[in-house]
Amino acid sequence: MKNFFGKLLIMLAVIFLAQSFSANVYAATPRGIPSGGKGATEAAAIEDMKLSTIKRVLAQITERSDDPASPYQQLLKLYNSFIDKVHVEKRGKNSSGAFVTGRVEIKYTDIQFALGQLVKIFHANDVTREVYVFVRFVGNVTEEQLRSAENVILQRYMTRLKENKFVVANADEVIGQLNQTRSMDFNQFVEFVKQKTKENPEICTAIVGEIRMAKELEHADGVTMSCEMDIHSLDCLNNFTIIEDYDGSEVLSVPSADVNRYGMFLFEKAAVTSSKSITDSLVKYWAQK
Amino acid sequence: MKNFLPKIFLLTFAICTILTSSISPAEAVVVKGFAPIVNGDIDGAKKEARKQAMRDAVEAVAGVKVTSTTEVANFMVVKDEIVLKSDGYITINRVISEEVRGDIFFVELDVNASTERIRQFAQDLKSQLDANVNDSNSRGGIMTAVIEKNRGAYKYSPEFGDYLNAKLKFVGFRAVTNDSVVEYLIYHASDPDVRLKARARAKETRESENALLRGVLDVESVKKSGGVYEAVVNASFELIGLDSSEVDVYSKYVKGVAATESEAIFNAKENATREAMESLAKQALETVQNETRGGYINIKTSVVIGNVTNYQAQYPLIKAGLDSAHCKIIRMTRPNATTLAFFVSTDSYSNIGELQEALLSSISGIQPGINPSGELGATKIHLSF
Repeated sequence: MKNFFGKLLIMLAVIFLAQSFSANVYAATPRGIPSGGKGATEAAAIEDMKLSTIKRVLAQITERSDDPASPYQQLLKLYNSFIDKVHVEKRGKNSSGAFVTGRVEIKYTDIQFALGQLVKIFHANDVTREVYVFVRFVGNVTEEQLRSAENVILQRYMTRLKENKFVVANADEVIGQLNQTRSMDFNQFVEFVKQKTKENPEICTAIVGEIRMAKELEHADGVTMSCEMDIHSLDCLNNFTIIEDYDGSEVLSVPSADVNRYGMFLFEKAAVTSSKSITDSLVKYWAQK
Repeated sequence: MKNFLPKIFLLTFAICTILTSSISPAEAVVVKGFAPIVNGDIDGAKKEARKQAMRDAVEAVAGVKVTSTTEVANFMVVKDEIVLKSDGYITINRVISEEVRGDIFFVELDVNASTERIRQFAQDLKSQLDANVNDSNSRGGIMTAVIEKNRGAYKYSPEFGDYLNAKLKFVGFRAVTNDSVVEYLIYHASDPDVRLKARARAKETRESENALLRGVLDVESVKKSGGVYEAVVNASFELIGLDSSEVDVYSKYVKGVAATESEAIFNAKENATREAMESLAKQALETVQNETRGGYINIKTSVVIGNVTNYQAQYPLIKAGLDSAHCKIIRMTRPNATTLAFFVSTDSYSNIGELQEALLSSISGIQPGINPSGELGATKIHLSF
C-alpha cells in the first residue's frame, strides 16, 4: 500500500510538472517582434530575420518604396543599427538551407530620429503638386444630386492625379459656395473660382470647369445623349496662366428605357476622359519647370 | 522496485503524451460561403465565396469571446488579416462543392484551421491596437465620423465605427470617433453642405487629430436571389486634413449576401468598410505623412492679415516678420483692398498655434484677427494691424 501511494504520488507529480511546463511554454512572451528568416547558413538566416523585421517596422512609419533615394530604402541600409537584441527560439535546416524563428527587439527611438533627419532632407516642399479640383456638374437635377455628381467627378480626377503622383486637395471653403454659382455661366464661374483662390492662397494649382449634360435627342431607335466638357487647369502662382484649355464631348445612343442608367455612365466617362487629358498636360507642364 | 520505477515513469510519460496531444494544433472544419457574381465575374465571386467561408472557419475555431463592440471590431480585423495571410493559419483540404445559383456563387470547403496560431494572432492584435495610443509610435491622429442610412433613416453604428477605427489603428494611425461630428451628420443629413460643416465642427472639437474621416454607408437595396438575400450598400468616404486640404476619397457600390436580410446588409456594410479602409489607409499613408512624421512637422497654412491700410509701410514689416519666424512665402494674394493673404511653409513649429504665437511676436504692430466661427476649409491664421 505504501509502495502504491508512493508511486501514485510520483506519477501525479510528473503529470503536474508536464502540464505546468506546457502552460509556461504557451504563456511565455519574451520581448520583441516575432519574426523568422532563412539563408544558406544560420548566420545568414539571422540577418534575414533582422532585415524582415526592420522592413515591417519601417512600413509602419514610412511608405514602402523601391526608390534607392527614398527614406524607406535609406533606412533599410542602416537596419543593423536599429536592432537591439535578437532571440532565436528555433533553428533548423531544410532543402534550401538554414532557417530560424524568434523575436527581434528594435530601437524605436533611433528609427524615429533617423527618419526625421531624412524627411527633413527629402521633404518635397513642392506645393505645385497639390491640385484643387473645382469641376461642377450642370444638369437638370436637385442640388443634392449635383453635389453627388461632383463628388464622383472629384473621385475620377483624384484617381488620375494620384496615379501621376499629384496630391489632391478639397477646398471646402470654395465648395461650400458652389450653390451660389449655379446661375453663373462658364466664364463667370471661372472668375468666381479665381477670386476664391485669392482669398485662399493655398490654392496654387486649380482645375476649374464644368461637365454639362446636354439635351437629349429622341429618335426612332431611342435617345441620343451628350455630355460636354469645358475644363481649364490654372497655375495660380503665375497669374492664372492656363496650363490647358480642354473642351470635348461624349455622345451615346441608348434605348429610351435605359436613359437614367446610361446617363450616369456618360458623365463618369466624361470625367475620366477629361481628367486624363488635364493630368497629362499638368505632368508635361511641371516637367518643364 | 528497481524494475518497477522505470515502468512507472514510462507509464506516466505515456499519460502525459496523451494529455498534451489532446490540445490539437489544428482543427478540421467544414464551412460554407457565398458571394454575388458582379458583372459576370465568376472567378471573382469564387474567390470572395472562399474568403467568406474561411472567415467563418476563423470564427468557428477561434473561440474568442466578444462582449463589446470594440472586441467585435477587433475580431473583424483578425478575420480580415488571417484570410489575407491564410498560410499557416488556414488551409483548404478539399473543395466539397461549388455551384452557381442565379447570380450567387456557393462553395463548401473542408479546411484546416490552426486554433493556437489564430488565438495567438488575435491576442497579439489586441495588444497592438491597445498600444496604439502613443503619439510617437503612430503615424498621426484621425477622427472618424461615419454614419449609416437605411430606408431614409440615419444612425451611427458603434460596431462599424469601432471597425473603422481598428482598421486605421492596425496600419499605425491613432483613430477615435468624434461623437459631436457624428451627431451633426445625423441631424443635418439633408443639408448638401453637411460634410463641409462637419469638418468645421471637427476642427472646433479636435484634441490632437490632424485628419477627419467622414462618410456614409447607404443601404441601397435588398433582394432575394438564389435562395439567399443580396444587399447593396453605397459607401462614400472622404479622408481630409484638418489643417491642410489634402483629401482621399472612396466611393463605391458594394454587395453582401447572407441567409437573412439583416445579415446580408451587415455583410455588405462590412465588405464596403473593409474595401474602403484598405483603399483609404493606403492613400492616407501619403496624406498624413506629408504633414507629420519622425518628430519633424511641415506646416503649410494661409496667414490672412487684415486692416492693411498702408501697403508701402506695412508689407515690409510683414515680410520681415515672416522671415524672422522661419516662414517661406509660397504665394501672396490680395483678396481685397485692405487684406493680404500669404500661403507659407515652415518646419520650425509643432502646430499652427505655435506658429501664430511666433508671428504675433515677430510682426511689428500685429494682433490676433477675428477667427470666423465655423470657418469652412483648412485652418488659417487670422491676424490684423
